[in-house]
Amino acid sequence: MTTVLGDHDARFEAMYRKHYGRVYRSLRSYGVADGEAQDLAQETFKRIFESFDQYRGEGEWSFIETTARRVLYNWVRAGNTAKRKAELVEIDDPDFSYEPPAVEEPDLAERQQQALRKTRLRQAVSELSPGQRECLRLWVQGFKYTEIATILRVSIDAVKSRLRDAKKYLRERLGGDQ
Amino acid sequence: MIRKTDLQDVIEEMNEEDRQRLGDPPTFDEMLAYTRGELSAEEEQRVRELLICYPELARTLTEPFEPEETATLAPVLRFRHVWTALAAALALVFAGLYWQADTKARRLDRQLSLPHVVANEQLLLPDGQRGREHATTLTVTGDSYLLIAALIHEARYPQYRLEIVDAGAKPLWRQAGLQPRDNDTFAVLVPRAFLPPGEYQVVLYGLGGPRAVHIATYTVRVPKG
Repeated sequence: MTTVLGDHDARFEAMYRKHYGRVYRSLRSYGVADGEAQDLAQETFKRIFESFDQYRGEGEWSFIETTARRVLYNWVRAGNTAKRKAELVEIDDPDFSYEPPAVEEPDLAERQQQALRKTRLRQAVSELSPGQRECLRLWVQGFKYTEIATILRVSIDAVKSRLRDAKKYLRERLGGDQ
Repeated sequence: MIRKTDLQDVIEEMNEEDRQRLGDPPTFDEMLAYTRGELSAEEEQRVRELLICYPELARTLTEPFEPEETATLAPVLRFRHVWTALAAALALVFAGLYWQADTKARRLDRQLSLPHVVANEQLLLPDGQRGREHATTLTVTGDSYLLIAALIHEARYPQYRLEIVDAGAKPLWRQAGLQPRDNDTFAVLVPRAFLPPGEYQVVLYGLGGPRAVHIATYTVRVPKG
């Protein structure tokens, strides 16, 4: 029994030593801050240790990467869920005393112009086909063609074609608008 | 013209509406099933819409993790491979050059180590003192040329240096520390094989100061045959 446990621990330790840095760097490259990346990397290996008995020793990095992605995903998701479920504060709540500094706002005519532009744009985006709209939304949010293809599970050619058509439609529809 | 900020605002509005409509983001297992194509069409559509309106979650799916160690090593290995090939090619080139030089040297050694007939001496006069002749044409009568370079110069130097250069001014041979013979000449025995047909220059320098002083150039031509 000692031998089995010893072998188990030795294998895990070898895996940890080999891949910990890589997991940490991958998390950092995603944009996670140093301390949190350390925590998430630790969490990744804690999970691996807990399920190490089920690991058959094949595709070592694939196993680690999936676990690390799971940990990262849950961490990001928890932040989003927390934001969505955050308690809303009534604007006239007496306890709500924070007043942000006034910012310089555009004048009324400009605001009206801006609102009109956005309404037209929103209408035009709604008129796109679902596939075009999905590509456009991801593209505007900074995703590359290959990433959009991965998220939507379509080919890169399909992404390029849909984006080209979407931009063309919007230009034709709103080209004259300023 | 469409303003980028307007488009970003519109997309953010749509995201917010979809978040309200669709509810919580998908779990990791749902997302994994989505990427593997294991969901029903309806579920697939829901997860896709959720990923669009939760871009930071979608990014965890697309963000590349650090590549495999082997992948990191691959460029290094390729780099090594290229350098190995280059080194091997250079080794072959140098081996070829060495073989060529060695063969030539052996041939000359053999010629010099055996008795051979010395051709009539070829008196060389400095360029500019030969009249209309551009170069002295060497006479091919034996297996060597005995070149006699005449020192016609008033200034004297403690030592001299002789060089033989080809038509492209590439030095073929050089020897310093020379003294003229009693009759103010330098005698150089040159194996015939050393000078293939073409034009050459024998250049004489005076040594003794900080710089070598050019004294004379003797242009010679080796005829074919």
